[in-house]
Amino acid sequence: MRIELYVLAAQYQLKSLFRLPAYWVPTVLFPVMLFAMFGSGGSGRSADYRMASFVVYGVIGVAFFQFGVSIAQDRESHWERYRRSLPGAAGPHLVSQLLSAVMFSLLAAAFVVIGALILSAPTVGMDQVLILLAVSLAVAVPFTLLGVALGYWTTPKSAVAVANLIYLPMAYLGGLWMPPNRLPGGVAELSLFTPTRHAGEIAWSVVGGRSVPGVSVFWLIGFSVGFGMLAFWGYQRDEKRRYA
Amino acid sequence: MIALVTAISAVAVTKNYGAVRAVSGLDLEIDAGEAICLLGPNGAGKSTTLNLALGLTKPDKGMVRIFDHPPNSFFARNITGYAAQDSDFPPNLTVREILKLVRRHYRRPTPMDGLIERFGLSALADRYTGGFSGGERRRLALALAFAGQARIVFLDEPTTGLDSSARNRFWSYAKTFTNSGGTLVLTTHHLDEIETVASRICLIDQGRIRLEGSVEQIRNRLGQRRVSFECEFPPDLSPVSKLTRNGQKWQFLSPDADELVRQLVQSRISFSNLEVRDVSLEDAIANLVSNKARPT
Repeated sequence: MRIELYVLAAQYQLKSLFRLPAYWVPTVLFPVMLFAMFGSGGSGRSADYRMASFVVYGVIGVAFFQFGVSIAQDRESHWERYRRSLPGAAGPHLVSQLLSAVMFSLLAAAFVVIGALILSAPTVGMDQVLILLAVSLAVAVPFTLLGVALGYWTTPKSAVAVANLIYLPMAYLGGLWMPPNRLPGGVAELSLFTPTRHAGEIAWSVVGGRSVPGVSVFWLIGFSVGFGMLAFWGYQRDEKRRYA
Repeated sequence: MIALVTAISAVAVTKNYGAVRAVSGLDLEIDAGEAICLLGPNGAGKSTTLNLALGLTKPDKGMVRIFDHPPNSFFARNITGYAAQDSDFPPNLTVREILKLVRRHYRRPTPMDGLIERFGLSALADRYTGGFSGGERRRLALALAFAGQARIVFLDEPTTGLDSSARNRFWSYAKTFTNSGGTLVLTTHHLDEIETVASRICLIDQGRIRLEGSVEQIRNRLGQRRVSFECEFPPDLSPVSKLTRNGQKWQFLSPDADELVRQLVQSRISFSNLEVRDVSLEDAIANLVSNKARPT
């Protein structure tokens, strides 16, 4: 009986997002569009790397934006307050949020892969693509936490703007739009301190057939702890203000 | 013999928001089957009292129990329904979908068709809630409050924004609900709503209960009648507990209206439109509150 609630909550969460093209068109189609403009045309190893970059860009973008913006907006809604008065509402809500983020991430990634197959000549096999998708979801964890933090520290009106202000420079600095070695001097040094760079490093190692760089994993764990603390702090502050 | 079961109990509950004392030493017992109406000025602590009983906020001191369970427990939430003062809904879901989602949270959901019909949602059932008017949102919010066959339903100003037919329909359903053992806790500013629905009144001001009793009791406690007439200037009359004037129209509240009228006639001044009526609930409450507020 509870399982039916989980299924229904997830189903309706997906339904209501799909009924909102203003949400899913940009999140699902922007990564492949940017790929077409900046990442296509290569061949061989370089085509693989570029595809991986934009897959990661799409996946972590969905994680970051969906949680950030939806938390900021829900927080102030009457519906959210009402929902909390229902029996056992927290679990189904959280699971449906996670599930829909995974769904939309994979859709965005799938479009990039299809775009790459049409517009460039990647050499990776299907098995590597599947590993890439799984790895992208894993490296999306710190960005999900950053999104949650953003949701609690911004207002509904500012959330989208702030999210763009954080995410677009991070994607650029991290070398997801152009390879890190082509970034200008000063920027290239900054690159090593961004979570996007380390997410990229891990994805590139997967399509390059290399072993995953431990340093990058370590960095991402560090970012997860930091963003997680920021998210928890914001969550507690909001709980205290609204429901204490 | 019918055993009275305590549905809601609040013992010495205090709640502060920063420096503001929202609820102050509140004691309240509500039996199953009662329809209790909380009333009082804005900011008196009515909504805070509801939030405490719903487990949406925690008391600083004291204790709230729903059938002996904490208000935020699954047990309590499974048998309570709630409609807030303001409501919004996921804009891209239909009324039917929202009802279905909320019903699924409860162990014993209310059958869908009856719910849609009872709250006048048939024509709206397959529409997205995005562009709903205030009255349409209110009808859905009320339907949701009753979607889980709740034994206790909390309604914050339930009929604000409803047209008179929807309001009457809601009132008659509210009576059916309490007659079948349901407990209703509502806040309102409409005294006609209290007279129609409530079995008990609880007047809250500055976070305290100022006055409590049945509608009858509160009327009787005042024990006064209202005498009004029009004239240039009235003679000295007694006993009078309150005198108000509106142009040429004078209105007296008196514990002995007959004596007042006798004196008026004997004074031989010219007057017109003499009326003697029971006090309205509004008068009764206003009078009792001002008496209580007066320093003794």
